[in-house]
Amino acid sequence: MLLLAALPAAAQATITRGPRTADGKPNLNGIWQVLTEANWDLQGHAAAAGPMIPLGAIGAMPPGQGVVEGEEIPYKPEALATKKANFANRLKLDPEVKCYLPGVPRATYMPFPFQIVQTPQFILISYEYANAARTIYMQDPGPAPVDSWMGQSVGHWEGDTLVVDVTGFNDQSWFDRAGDYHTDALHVVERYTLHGADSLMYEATIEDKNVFTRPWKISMPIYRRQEKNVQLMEFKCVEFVEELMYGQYRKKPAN
Amino acid sequence: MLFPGFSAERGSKKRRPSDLMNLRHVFVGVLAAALAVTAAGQGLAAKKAWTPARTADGQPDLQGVWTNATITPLERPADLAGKAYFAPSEVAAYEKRIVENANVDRRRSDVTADVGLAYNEAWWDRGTHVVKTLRTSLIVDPADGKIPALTPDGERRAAAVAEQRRLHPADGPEDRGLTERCILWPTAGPPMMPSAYNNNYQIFQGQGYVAIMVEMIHDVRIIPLDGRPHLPSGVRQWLGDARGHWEGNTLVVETTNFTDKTRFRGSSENLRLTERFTRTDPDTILYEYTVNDPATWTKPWTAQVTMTKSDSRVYEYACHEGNYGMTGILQGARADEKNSAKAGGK
Amino acid sequence: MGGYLEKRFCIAMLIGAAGLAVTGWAAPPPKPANYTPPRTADGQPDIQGVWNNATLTPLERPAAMASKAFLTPAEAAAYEKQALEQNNRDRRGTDATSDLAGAYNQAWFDRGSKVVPSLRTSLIIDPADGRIPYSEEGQKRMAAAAEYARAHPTDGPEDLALADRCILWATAGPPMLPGPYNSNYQIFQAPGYVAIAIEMIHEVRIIPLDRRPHLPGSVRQWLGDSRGHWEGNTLVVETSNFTDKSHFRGATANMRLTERFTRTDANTLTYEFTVEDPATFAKPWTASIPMAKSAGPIYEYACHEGNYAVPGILGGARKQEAAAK
Repeated sequence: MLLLAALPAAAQATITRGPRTADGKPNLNGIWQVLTEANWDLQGHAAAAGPMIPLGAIGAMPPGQGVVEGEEIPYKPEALATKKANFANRLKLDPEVKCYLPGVPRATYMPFPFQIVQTPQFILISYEYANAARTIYMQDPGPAPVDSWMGQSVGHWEGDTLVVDVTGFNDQSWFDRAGDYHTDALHVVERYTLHGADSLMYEATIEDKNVFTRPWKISMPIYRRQEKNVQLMEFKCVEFVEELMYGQYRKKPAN
Repeated sequence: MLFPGFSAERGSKKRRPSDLMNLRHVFVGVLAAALAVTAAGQGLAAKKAWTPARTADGQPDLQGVWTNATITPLERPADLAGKAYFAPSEVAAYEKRIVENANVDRRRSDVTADVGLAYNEAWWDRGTHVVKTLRTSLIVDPADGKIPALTPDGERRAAAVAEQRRLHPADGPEDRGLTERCILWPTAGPPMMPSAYNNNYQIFQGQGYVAIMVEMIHDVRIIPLDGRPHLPSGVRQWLGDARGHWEGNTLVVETTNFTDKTRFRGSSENLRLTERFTRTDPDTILYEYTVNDPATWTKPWTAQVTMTKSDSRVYEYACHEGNYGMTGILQGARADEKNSAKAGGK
Repeated sequence: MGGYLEKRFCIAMLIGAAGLAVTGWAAPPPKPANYTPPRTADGQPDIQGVWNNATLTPLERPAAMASKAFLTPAEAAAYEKQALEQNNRDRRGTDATSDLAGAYNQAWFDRGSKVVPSLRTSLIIDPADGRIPYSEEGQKRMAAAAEYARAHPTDGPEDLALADRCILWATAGPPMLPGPYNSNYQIFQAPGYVAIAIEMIHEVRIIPLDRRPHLPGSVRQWLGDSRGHWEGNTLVVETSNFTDKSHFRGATANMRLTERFTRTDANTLTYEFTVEDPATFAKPWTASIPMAKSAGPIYEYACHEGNYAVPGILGGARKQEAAAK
């Protein structure tokens, strides 16, 4: 085995929790997770039975006070009909069921942690769910070269708030499990502001002229995961949906 | 608010009927003016106003374990029509009669009655006393002690529910009562009404909150006092959504956002409930509620229950976890259908 | 994939030259001296940026090159030219099957255009013969797995390659090997972490540097669980907790991987890895792959979202079976 020159091991690296990074910006490094039920339904909703009877209370929808400012998402009438049809057919249509990429802002409020790795030129957000990831360019690279599930993210600082402008979406992702959806005209602007050492205030303004009558906003706190030695683990769910998606093609079907 | 004949020591104060009539009119008049509450009694001279202690954050202290079991019915019985209060001298005999009657051995020789009527007072905790106000009904308004008339819509809904129950007594769990389904008990409501047993509550107060733990069925009503708005109107809950504030020594709780399945005495989802909790002495909370549901009743109505300090604890009532009743009832219904189908030669 | 490249390499060499000097295994060419990488704000040697590790050099030395550890520059140039021509030739036949299977030319791949700068004939640098030193047990298991795969090529999705299932790509590993295309990586460093974003398939390896223990032994992950620390200018990453489904070159869940990243010049990140798995390999083996600075950017590879291949392969197999009845 080739050995490089044996040098003394570096001192134990510490993960700085200080409020500022070396380049003077708010320090967003860390592992974060929301506590809202936004992924079930962005709008306020009471608890309800789930779509799978065998799951009983495990599959039931928890209640949520809603994260939409003004409570209602401003759908165009025909788009509202589409949302309702989406909900009625959600087991077949919700991309989350198939372990597809969650898009933005849904990735933020999935019930899984994500990790921010912050450098001056790029801010990487790595999501535990389906190892989705996005790189926030702190220098504008120009228009997105191609549409994608997670869009292209361009960030800049406004005072102590990280503002992220996301464009270049395809029309495939949903905003939640309630059928809230968009087209490829989607444009999202996020704002991340540190709120004390262990939480972030998060806002996202959403516009899509094909679906909504005006831009609308969601907001919620995001909390730091503080367990000792906390890390992201794998949620590589493709494997878990193969039976669902390809079971009918098995040589010997499962049942 | 203090009330005529109302005292921790039952029967120790004597009231003349004319005094009672005057005071009752005053009381009803105040209610009709929609409840401006003052801490001092309304012209009730004899009893010294009692001031509750304060919690650490300055709320009048309602804390402790309380029971609201009582033999006083919600509505005034027909044979007491026109009689709003018991005289203190009448109370003991009345209580004795009611309690003995409840404990009569009704078991007969046939199996059905043997099962259905086999429960005596050992199985219940329906109370042994009338309410401390000595009223003959929990309802204090309307004056006749009866629930006001239903609106046409209220009647229609009630009839539909009754018809459904008649035709489909046990097709599925949704046809059974909320208590049998272990979903909601009358003691929780709200309003919080005495029921068959375990009429127990524990009240906790903390920074800006009052929390009422209801034994049946381990429901906790957490009532914020900070004036925040109610939940969005699109969100409906079995126990509604409560908001509280103090008016002097009275906790006033406004509850909205009920579901259309809660159906308190046939109420609609538009029910607006106002509850008032006043600790009138160390062992008593006067609990009053006003039901406001123009879709169902032609006018609002108000009831009072006295809650008595208990030296017991609140137990865990794991209703659903031991719900043999539901399985038995549904299986029994299915067996009945099969048997009658066989008998009918189908 | 290794086998495919081997064929290309082998053919090129047979065509190319006789009478090549046979050289035994020699020490690799010396690294450029005195390159000191810049430092990140928290003092780590800076290995950030977008990197690409595509190369025409195969992992294992082809059988035909058995005792030839290094090419001469002329041989390398000839090989590279040959490989590109071979990869780009029109293989389409007249019947539909070969027309489909042979229809991919270089436009569809990005295997690189160069051998490694050291001109070694394999990425493996130890053992000396440039081949994976399988133990007998390892060979037996591989043979059994190959036999099973022959007998059950398409019973269900679990029989298909991890890349076809969109679960794991060779470029992610770990170890991180070049793939048929998109062998792109972007490295980020923040206090106490190195994060490697891998284009295939939008994986991110987040490596803590604070000496925390590994995950519990009961937790197994496709990419294992990595812990890093700096030794001088070399990032050393230890990875364990693999699943028994990752099967890197036949390895078991007990595989242990040590990777070393050293920025040897402004545009080169030298990546070296050592694989240990006594149940599979007679001894540990080591490979070295240079990663070249790339303009980027990293694109989103939404593999699973566009996976027509699996339903096509399985559905096609079912149709063939039905037709055969």
